[in-house]
Amino acid sequence: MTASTEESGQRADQKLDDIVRDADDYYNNLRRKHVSDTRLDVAVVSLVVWFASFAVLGLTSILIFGYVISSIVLPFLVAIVVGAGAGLATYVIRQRRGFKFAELGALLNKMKQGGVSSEDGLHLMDAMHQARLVARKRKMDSAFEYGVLAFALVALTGQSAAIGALAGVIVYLYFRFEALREYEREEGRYEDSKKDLLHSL
Amino acid sequence: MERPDLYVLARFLDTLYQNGRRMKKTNLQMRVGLNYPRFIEYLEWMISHAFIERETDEGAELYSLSPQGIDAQRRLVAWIRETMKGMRI
Repeated sequence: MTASTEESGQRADQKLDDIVRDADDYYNNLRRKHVSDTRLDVAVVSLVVWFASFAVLGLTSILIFGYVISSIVLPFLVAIVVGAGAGLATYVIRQRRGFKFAELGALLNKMKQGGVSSEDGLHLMDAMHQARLVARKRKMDSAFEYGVLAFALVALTGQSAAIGALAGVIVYLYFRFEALREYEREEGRYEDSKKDLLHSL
Repeated sequence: MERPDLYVLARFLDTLYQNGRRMKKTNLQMRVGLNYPRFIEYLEWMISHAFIERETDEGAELYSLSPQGIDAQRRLVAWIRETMKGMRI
């Protein structure tokens, strides 16, 4: 090999090491974000479900048994249990989704141990892309949360559950549409960049 | 070949680059892990794109990475890095 090709080869090796370092930073950020998002989701879902359960059970109890202390206390306690259950279910679902990041972590560990090739780099890049798509799914969850919030606000202010439900569905569909569009755009951009590279080689 | 697999191309480039010397066809095929017809298809594609040079030494066909091939590997690595940088959570 000539001196210039040797030099460019060394640059490529250096860049491959940089790729692993960048991917490691990305993975750590992703994990941190996943943990904080999970906490937020668990808190929001628990609160919303607790409030909805308390409202429904409380109103039902008052209608059946009248204004007695047990009509408030009992629904309050049951709503706490229901809210905690919903929070736990959210936590389990989010944890399962987090397992997708494990693939990226395992790949990174393997690459840190031995020499890195450009094929490893491609695998790493695809794993990062997949992990990012999982993180993007949170936007879908947010669409649902916004929908529930819109339902609660409109139903309370407009004093009509039907209009509240309509508002909730519209808000949910809008944010879901936006999230899907962004997801598809990113997927398209990623595939296009691969095609462009192949043409340019 | 309509659209070669980027992973396979990377494997060819990595194998020949890391080996540093000219390689026999069988050796190269073993290292890239493709069946023979597929291997030949990729090899011809890479030769036609001047990434790989074919030489004959004492009747044996030997393959090595051309300067364009080395440049392609460098560009591939640079592209991976750039694409990764563009990935925001």
